[in-house]
Amino acid sequence: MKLIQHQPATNASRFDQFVDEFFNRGLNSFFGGDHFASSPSVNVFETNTDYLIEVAAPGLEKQDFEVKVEGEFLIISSEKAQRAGQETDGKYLRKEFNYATFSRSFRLPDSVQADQIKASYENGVLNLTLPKSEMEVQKYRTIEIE
Amino acid sequence: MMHVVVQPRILRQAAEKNSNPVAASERVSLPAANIVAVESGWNIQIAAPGLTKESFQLKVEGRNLELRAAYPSTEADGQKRLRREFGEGVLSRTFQLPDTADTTAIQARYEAGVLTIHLPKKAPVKVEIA
Repeated sequence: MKLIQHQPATNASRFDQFVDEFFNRGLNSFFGGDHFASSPSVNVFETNTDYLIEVAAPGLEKQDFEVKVEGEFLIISSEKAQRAGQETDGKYLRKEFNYATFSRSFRLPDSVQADQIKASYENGVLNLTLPKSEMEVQKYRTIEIE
Repeated sequence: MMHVVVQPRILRQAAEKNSNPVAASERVSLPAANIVAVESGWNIQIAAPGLTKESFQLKVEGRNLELRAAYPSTEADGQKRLRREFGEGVLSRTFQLPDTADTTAIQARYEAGVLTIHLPKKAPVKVEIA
């Protein structure tokens, strides 16, 4: 029972993501001197009762995220509308990160209660708590020694 | 293979200095940074999710601006790590500041996992013509 990151083979946003990355890279990237991050890093932990997912997506607001369960997949995405005037406030001399548009999917283990998933956004990290089903939790109960 | 590194004209990242010796167990990584030129100067945005503003150390040494932030080392009890891609070790990065930056008036703010450092331009010196 593992949370395995899922990369859908046919995903319409794939192309957008490519275009986004392509045009946001500095000229440097063509010569191998630069890097650009638009897909967030993820930590996954397991406790006796829950799976915990931490998504590092700094610079967003909680309403920019969409978290949904489709079949056996948990899909975390963001769509940040460019605020009017935001781009004209200044000129980017260097751009190494922008998490305004991303999508990451995870295959959920059967033991997760999909309707009980909770999410919060704090300090640039989206925290998700995925509770395990009662059956799964009971496997881990400790037995009191009399 | 051709490998050309084009240095941005205004802010160059100085070579990582060994002024902060770290324990071998500390993983040091380079945080991603955006640099935006604004009317009053420059804004440096550092991607540093999952910290607090107290985690950061910013210091100016000569023309270098040194940033350092350490993640808390402990993992919560009873948690099994299945995947870890961020939030460990130390973030460290040094920027070489332009001569026109006023290093005495640098301001920083931590919000939504982004540390924004505002680097103001020096006020222009006006010469009175007698």
